[in-house]
Amino acid sequence: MRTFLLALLVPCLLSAAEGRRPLRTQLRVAAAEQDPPLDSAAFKATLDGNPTKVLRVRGPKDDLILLIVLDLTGDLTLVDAARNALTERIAALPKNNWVAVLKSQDILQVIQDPSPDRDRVAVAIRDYAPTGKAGLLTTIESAASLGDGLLGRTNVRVAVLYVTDSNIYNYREDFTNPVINSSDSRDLSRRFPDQLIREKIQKLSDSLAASETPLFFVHLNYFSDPINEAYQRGLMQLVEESGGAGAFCRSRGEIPDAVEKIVAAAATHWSVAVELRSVKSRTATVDLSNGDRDVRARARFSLRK
Amino acid sequence: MRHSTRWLAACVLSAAVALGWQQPQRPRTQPPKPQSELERAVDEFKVLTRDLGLRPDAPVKRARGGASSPSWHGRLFENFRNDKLDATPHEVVQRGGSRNLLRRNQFGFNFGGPVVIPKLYDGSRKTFFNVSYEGVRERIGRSFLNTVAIPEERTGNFSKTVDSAGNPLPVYDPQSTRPNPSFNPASPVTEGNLQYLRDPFPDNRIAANRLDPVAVKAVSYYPLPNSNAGPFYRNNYFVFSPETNHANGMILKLDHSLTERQRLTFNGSFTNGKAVAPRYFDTIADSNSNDRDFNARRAALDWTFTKSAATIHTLSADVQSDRSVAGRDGQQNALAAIGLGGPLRDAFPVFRYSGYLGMGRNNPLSVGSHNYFYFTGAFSTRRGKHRLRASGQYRRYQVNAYLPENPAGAFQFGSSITSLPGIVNTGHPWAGFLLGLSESASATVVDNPSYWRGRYFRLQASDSYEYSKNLTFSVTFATEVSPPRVEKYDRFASVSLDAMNPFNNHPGALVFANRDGRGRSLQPARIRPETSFGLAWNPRGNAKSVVRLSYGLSYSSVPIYTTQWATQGFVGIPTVISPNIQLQPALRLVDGFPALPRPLPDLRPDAGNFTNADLVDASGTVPMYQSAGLSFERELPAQLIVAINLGHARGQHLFVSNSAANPNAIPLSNLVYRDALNNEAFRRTLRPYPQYQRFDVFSSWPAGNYKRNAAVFRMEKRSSSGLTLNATYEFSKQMDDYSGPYGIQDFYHRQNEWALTSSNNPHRLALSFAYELPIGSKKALLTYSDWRRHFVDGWSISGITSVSSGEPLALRPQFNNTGGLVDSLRVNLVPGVDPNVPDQGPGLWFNPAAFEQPADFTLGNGPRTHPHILTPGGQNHDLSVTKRFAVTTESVVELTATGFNFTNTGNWADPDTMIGPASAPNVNAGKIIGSRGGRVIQVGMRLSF
Repeated sequence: MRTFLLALLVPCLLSAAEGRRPLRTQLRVAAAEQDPPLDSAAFKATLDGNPTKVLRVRGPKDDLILLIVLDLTGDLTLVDAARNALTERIAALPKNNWVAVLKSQDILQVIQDPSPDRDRVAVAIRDYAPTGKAGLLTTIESAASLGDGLLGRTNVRVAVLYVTDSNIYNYREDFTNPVINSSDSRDLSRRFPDQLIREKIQKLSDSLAASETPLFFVHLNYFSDPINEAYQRGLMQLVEESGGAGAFCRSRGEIPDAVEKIVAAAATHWSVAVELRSVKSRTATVDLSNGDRDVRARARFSLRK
Repeated sequence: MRHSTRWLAACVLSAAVALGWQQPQRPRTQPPKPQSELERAVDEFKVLTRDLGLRPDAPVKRARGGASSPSWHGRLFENFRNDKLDATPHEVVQRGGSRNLLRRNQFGFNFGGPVVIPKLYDGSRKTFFNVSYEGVRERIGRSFLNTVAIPEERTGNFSKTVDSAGNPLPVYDPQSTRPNPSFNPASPVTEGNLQYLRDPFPDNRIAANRLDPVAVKAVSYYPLPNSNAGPFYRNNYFVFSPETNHANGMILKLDHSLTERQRLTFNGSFTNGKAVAPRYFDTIADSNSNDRDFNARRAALDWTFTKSAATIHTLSADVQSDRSVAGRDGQQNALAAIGLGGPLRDAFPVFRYSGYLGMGRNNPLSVGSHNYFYFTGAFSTRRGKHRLRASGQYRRYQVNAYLPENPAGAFQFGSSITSLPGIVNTGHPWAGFLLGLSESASATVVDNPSYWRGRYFRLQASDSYEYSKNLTFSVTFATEVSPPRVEKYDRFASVSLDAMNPFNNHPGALVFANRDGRGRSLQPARIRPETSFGLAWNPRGNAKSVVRLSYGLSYSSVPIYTTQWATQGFVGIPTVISPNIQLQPALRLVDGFPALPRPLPDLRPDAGNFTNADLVDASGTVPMYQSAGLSFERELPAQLIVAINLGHARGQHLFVSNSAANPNAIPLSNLVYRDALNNEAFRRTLRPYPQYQRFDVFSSWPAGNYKRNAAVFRMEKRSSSGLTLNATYEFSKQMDDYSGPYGIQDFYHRQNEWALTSSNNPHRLALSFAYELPIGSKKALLTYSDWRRHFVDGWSISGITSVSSGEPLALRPQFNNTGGLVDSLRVNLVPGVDPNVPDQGPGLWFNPAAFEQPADFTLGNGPRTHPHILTPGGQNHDLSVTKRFAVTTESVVELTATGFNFTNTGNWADPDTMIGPASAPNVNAGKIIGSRGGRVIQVGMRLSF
């Protein structure tokens, strides 16, 4: 049985949280992993072994706001391939999947509000200027926060999809720990060059623990140097913890398939809200099942907020 | 009035109706259509994005957590090392030491975010900075094992002096030299057929009144033995000396969006510091490196203009500057202290005696500075299935150097002058030194620094063509034009191999830039067309597999070294050569260094005669590199990635140094003249350019060749349990005709030098891992919810392991009796004797009996580097343990303990590769003395906020 240990970090906030809304957590289930498909009416959950209420189930047929964040600053060949693939996949989405376009250079900014109009979305993607600094790490909290706001105030599913070609050397912040004193021949502090990026990823992981928005990414340009590998592993860790998915492209030819796969994963994810009112301690175990099957699900959970 | 108006309106309306106009119906009030959930979500989206400051027209929200713009963030760190945490290095333990010295603090900060100056400037959306500072304060012990003269030898007593086999080494009195009346010139010189007779010093002791007064004074600055690693008094001086390093550096980055499509980026950095080198011995005669003050600065400005979504322009300017001053205090009056006269600049002179630790430094004072200017423009666009790029770059270099080499003179002492003439393993260099009889001496007299200037232009165009979804081709063409380098004040000189020398009417004379109809440079402009080709292919449309093929052809440009090489005539290089090193010295120390024959600048064609003259290659040949690669990368299930790379690379006309190129070498066929070659006057007649001793080509003679084949296997595995693994194995083979610690034997037949590259390391394995320990919150184990979670959360470990095979051994004979024809003599192979040994270990790494000292005036037939016998391999294991503490939601403290070589593995030193003659074999040949390395612990703390 798949279990999830949810750390309730600040129990003193329980009462405050309860005062605002039912204490709950959002479980994300990847539809692509479910065969046969799940039955929306058949979800059941247990909390520390005891049945708990499934508050809300939203599945692939429900409304979706897909927030596409463009984080592209590099090779135009790859960018164009991603543009084409995105436009094609978005056109094929169901009509109740509305798409917004944002960009992440400098700061997260809206290019196109959520819209069912595929042409407008395509134009926004096509006209996007792929220059500047990479922004995924610095905007992902804002994007998740935006998704959480929508999830909390409306009854739609929300997913954030980053399309990125970022590499760790193109960030404004020095995650690479560059050599400052070139004469310091015995500097061993850079022997493990991935420490800064791993620290940043862990910090983001903690920060995003309270987020309920599943994150997805398609990375157009896989890099093989150690520090970029650590960065790319971190991206995968962040999206997996959110219940989302990611894909790396090692060649231009992979981009259409990767975009198709990840857009489909974002569009078809399940979102299952489970009540946590009976949580007594800081940690809890939630099991999710659908009919007679255990369901593999992902959740972040924190009561800090 | 009111009635008439109503009547008029009714008439107009009636007429209009009659003409067909229909009165519009008042819209009926309908209940609003219920807003769909998606529409409501859009409204919420707009509100949220406005609140979060994500819309261009929204006010910026700068608070953390859901903020739209990155707020200020940074980190403070300190890394600390102390020898109390470390293992004592193996080499120190083996010399009887009990601890090392290491005090190191490395500290700094990083801070970045939007530029906001209250009430003056708000760059939250468009201007960002990032600044980093790092300081280092370090004091570290360095250890060296050398050989110095034993106390008896310091006073001229060689009664205890032995050869490498432990046999007494006779020292002969040069004053007793006389022709042997019974010498048979038709037979080789042997102990039974001596050309010259010479008497040994009585009891192998030089009388005190024979000692050179300059040498005697210099000896007082020379250290006494303090170790007995041996054998035979060798390796008798162990040094443990501190080295200090203080450095400060800063990096500043600014970037600013001028408009939506225009961006400026500034990168600036500086570093400065002082490095105090360890001492071999703490007197003015120390021969170890100089202390060094240094600083470096860099400023780069980039402008990027995105013309459209498919077209980007960039312009950048990059300026870099650095300056280094190396020297050491206390050199004033050094010449007077030992009584050495001559036109020398004050510093301790260089005394070199083979086998013993020398005195003095080649460059007691040097100043070098560099300025680099780069201006680059690039254009990138997309046209159909083509992605086109074009770029142009202009580079300008300024290299200023004040680098007088041996300004106080360099004096070489050999064994020949105290040997039995023509007989190896007799005589002693230290004896020659005590007698003040130098084999050769030279100095440089430098009045002015050199100011080198260079320019490069590069144009490049490339196209990436998308043939199909799964196949992409790319091709690049580039041309680099490099006008020849110049010296700002035209103090640029070289031997021209075509110009006639008035001294002997032979080709080869010194020529000067911007004189006698020559241009400002002595080298031609170079135009180098370069190209590369590549393809990426997903076989059978499988996006998880990628095949890449590449080929590249490129040339390197001529670097402008920090040197005063090629300024002869403006710089004086007085050189004194012994007429016959077995019979006569070049000079006696007590007589001082001879005066300069002519004042500087001396711009006559024969100004460089009888020196190691500076020779600049005037052919315009530059190194050419070609490489081809084939790689296959496959993503397998379970997040496993494997990749195989096959590569071939070759280079031609690589720049090599004096040890691998000597255009004035005497052809080796002249070895038949045997002992007559010791006569400098005769030897001179055999040189292609007899008016020169040899040529100094610095590191710029385009004669080297290499070839490399390599196969690399790489695997990356990431597991869901937080463990990531990387493994890389490389098998390679590299051959060349120039590398090695001793140089090459035959300058005229480079094919005979073709052998394994001295650094060829055929097997390399690198493993690394990172593991988030499965304990603590959100993990599988120890999910404490109480205070204990502070101790179990946030642990991770990482490690790096590297294992490599050794490098090929370069064997050398102990004696080189070739009359000065061969710079680097190789050993002979003994037929039928296996060089390998069973149970290879430090006691015996290879079989020295498989090699032998070549006979006098013959070449060695062994390879430059051995094809099978490698030095001991090396291994290193580093481990880092990290614990994170979340101070607040925004602040984290990380504590890190890193063990470098945490297994405290000692790696064997290289074996003794010197092969002695059969009569006096080197008893250490094939043996390894000691190992090196030791565990070093670094503790670090970093606060991120």
